[in-house]
Order: sequence, then structure tokens, then C-alpha cells
Amino acid sequence: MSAATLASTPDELPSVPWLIAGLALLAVVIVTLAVRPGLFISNLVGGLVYGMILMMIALGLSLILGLLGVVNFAHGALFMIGAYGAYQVVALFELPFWVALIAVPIGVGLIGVLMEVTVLRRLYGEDPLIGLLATFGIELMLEEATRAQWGGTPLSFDPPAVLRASVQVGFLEIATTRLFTAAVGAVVVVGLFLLMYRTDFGLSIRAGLQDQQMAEFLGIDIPKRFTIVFFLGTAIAGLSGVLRGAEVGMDLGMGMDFVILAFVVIVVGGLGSIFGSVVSALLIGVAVFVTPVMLRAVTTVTGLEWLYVSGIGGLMPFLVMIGVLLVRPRGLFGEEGLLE
Amino acid sequence: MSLLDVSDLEAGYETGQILFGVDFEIEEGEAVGLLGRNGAGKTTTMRAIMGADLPRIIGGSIRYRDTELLETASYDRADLGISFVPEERQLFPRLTVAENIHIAASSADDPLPAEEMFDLFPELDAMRDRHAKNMSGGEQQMLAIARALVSNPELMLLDEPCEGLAPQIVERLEDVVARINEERGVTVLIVEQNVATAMSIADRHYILDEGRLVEEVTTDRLREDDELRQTHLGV
Repeated sequence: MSAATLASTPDELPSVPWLIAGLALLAVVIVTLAVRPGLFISNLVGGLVYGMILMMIALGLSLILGLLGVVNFAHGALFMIGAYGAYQVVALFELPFWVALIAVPIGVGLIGVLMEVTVLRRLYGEDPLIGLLATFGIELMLEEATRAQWGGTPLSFDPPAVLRASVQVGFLEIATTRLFTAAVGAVVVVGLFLLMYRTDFGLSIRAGLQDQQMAEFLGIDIPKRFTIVFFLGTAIAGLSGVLRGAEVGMDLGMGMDFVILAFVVIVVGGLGSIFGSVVSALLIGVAVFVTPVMLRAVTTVTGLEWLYVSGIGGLMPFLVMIGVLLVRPRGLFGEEGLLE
Repeated sequence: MSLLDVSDLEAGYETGQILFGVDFEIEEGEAVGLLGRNGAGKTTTMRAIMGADLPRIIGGSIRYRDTELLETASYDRADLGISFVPEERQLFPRLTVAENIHIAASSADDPLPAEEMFDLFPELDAMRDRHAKNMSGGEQQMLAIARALVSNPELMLLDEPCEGLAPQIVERLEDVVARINEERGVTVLIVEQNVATAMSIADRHYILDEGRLVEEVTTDRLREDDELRQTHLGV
């Protein structure tokens, strides 16, 4: 058998339906670029930034789910408290935004530790449903506490001047808050990657993910590692809350909205894969922002008004999830059997 | 004072009690076998010594030097100088060979150089970057032993290290474990179904039957006393 025939196994060549789907998508992108270039690019950037926020929430959630086996529903509330905490620091205490950027994630992380030590620690090894219910309860408590403290009306605060400006990139004007969010997201993901794959601490976490009991037999203090991971995961949620709050403000629904989307990101990316969460979050972020523009462009060109589905952006995460799960049930980059 | 002193140990699972008052002692530098049929309580004893989540301890004590292990967290037992080669090996499947060894070394106070492990098992040297899940059973067992040894333990517990392996690998591992005991002075407690393996490594043996210690014998007597082997071990 020649090398050429060996290479053309079905796995390596896209099948005809995939080829058609890819070409169709490419055609739509080209049409959109021709009809509305400015809107397309700016929504692409918006989608990537939105994806960065989703990514940070999903990474924390995924870390906690992977190591502790707990579906932390309260993760969204901690994200929300990050945003309200920033409001408290910037608008009410009148301290610089940069103080909020450092102090609020630490504060949110400490709330996370409190949750872990008082409630979740008792639930490890139990039915995951119990953890889900307990954290759902905490989510509701935190949401009501937020309402009691800051009221039910949406709030916002003024970010510092440097984050209210915008920069010109080619013909495109990008708000500096968005660039800043993207930069912080990149730092978080690179930092997390280095921590997990370049340090002994990360090695012990990865070992604990695979076989907790054996890691303890080797002398690794797993309960302490759990608490540290919980702090990290929830502090990152708090940090994304601060960034989101600076960009669009805050309301009581944001926690629930984002935690559900973060679950979708994890499922699509594949549990246990940092890389998977990153790709999936960016993909979903872009899909949410770009799909409406693309559909609008297609209806403009074809005149088929029924092709435009209003609210399609909000549906996209779930459509992407259904599509990915149909083709690859363990997610894009998921490791086989991690949750089995 | 003995290195390990198990006394009146009772333990079990939700399905029922397995150990009904097990007593034995191990002196420093010894190699001791813990023998018995399937279900006699050998693995349960090992897991109780290591402090696994299960079995549940019902009563008794396990002293290591001056420390009561039953009051010591599982992860602190390793720091006392105890290492474990569990049944089924329990390697970290998605860590590489080098990482599996490094993680044990990095959590030990006074580890041996990883290179010494690769000298001991040259096979592992050639596959440092391979994930543990992609190794053969024999290679995995070598890695499990290397991982237990690199922490420079005083006491090494091995639970059926030769189960399901080819005869020439078994011979090789027997030799390595015997040398770990003789040349490095590591105290060894080995659980084996395979009596020949236990005899090649240990000088004396405790025999468990239905959760109770029924005999303490030397290797010579075990070899000669057919009736004893037949009664308690079925071989």
C-alpha cells in the first residue's frame, strides 16, 4: 500500500457534508464582509471579548468541577458579586478602579473559600446532585444578599479615563475596555496554563484530578489543594465580574446567565481541557455576536426576510452545543472518561 | 520497638466486616509476606495501613514507630516514610512516566534522584515522555515500584505487584524488590497470592484467613509444610 493511500483514511479528509457546510460558512462570511465590513469586524471583536469573559468563568468552573467533582452553580453569583464589588469600591468608596481590580477578586476568592470549607467540603464523594443543589442554594442566597445590599436596579460605574477611550486599529475603533478585558483574559489563561503544566503545584493538581486517593498516598495534601483551587477558580470569577462590570455594568440576572453559558462552554470544549475551554468560549462568544450580522447580510443580499431570526445570537451557544455533542459527545477536546 | 505494629485491627466495608482483630509486627529492615486466599483481608489490611477512604476502621491500632496511624491523615503517612504500590498500580494515567516519578519525589522530604529509578529500570528511561496509560502491564508495574521507591521510604507496602504479569517480568520484579530490601535496607511488606513470589522476597510470612491471623511462618517452613499451604492458601 502506498503512502498516499495510507494517508487518505476517512479520519483525515473532511467528508462531503462538512465540506459543504464549511464552504457555505465561508460564503456567508464573504457576503457579510462585502455588505457590512465595519459591523462584522466590530462584532467579531465584541464576540472575542465576550468570549474572554466566558472563558475565565468557565476555566474556574471547570477546574473546580474536575478536581472536586462539584458542579458549582454558585460560580455565577460569585461572578456577579465581583461586578457589584467593583461598583462598591469605585462608585461608593470612590477608590481607583485598579484597587477594585486587585482587591475584589481576592475578596470573592475568600467568599469561595468560606463556601468550600463550610459547605462543599462535606459533600465530596457524595452524589453530584447534592453538590448541585447545595451550590444552587448558595447561588440564591448570594443573589438575594446582593439585592438586599445593592438593590434590584441595574447599576454601573465609570471606569478610569484610560478605559473609556478607544484606539484606532486600521479603519476600526476599539474601546480600550475591550482591549483591556482581552489582555487580562489572555494573562489569566497563560498564567493558569503555566501554573498547571509548569509547576509542581500544577502537577499535583493534575494528579489529583486523575486519582485523588493515590495522590494522597504519595503525601500530597489534597484537602489543602482543593481549597487553593477553589480560591483560584472563584477569584477568577470575581475578576471577570469586575471586567464585565466596567464594560457594561451589572444586574441581578448576570450571574445566572453567565454560569449557564459557562457550562455550555465546558461541555462544548470538553471537561478537563484548558485549551478546549478557551477555544469553545471564543467560538461561542463570536457565534453570539456575529451570527445576527451574518444573517442580516444574507437577507439583505437574497431578499429572503424569513431567514433572519431575531434573537438568534442568544440561541447560538445552545445551537453550537447541540451541534458539537451530536458529532462528538465528549466535547471538542475532552479527555475520554474523565467524569465516568 | 517494631517499625510497624498492627494490633487488634478490625475493619470492613458497608457490605460487612472483613478484619476481625488482626495482630502483627514488622521489624526494621525485614521483608515480610502477608498471605491468604482471595477475600482473606490482605488488601483491606494494606489499605487500612495507608489510610484509604475505605475500608472503614472499626477498632484496633496501627502504630508506626511512635505514631498512631489511625489518627494520622493519609497524606501525612507518606511523610512518615511509608510508600505504597497498590493493587492495580493506580498510576496517574495521563501523566508521563517522568511526571509519575517526579510527583512522588516532589512531595517527599528526602527523595532519591529520579535518575536512579531509570538506572534500576532502563525500560522506563526509554519512555520518559509516554503517558502511563500507554504502557504494558509489566512496564506499568515497574513505574509503580519506581514511584514508590523514589520517595526514599523506610517501609514499602506492595499489594500483589506480580499479578497478571509474564513469568520473566515476575522474576525481574522479584529480584528488584528483594534488592530494594537487602541493598537499600527498605522494610518490605508484600501481599501476594503467588506464594512463590512471596517466598522469593520475604523471610517470614503472616497468613490471614477470613479476616483473622492464623499463622506466622518462616519461608523455609512455608516451603516444606504442604499441609499448611493447602489448608490456608489452597496451593
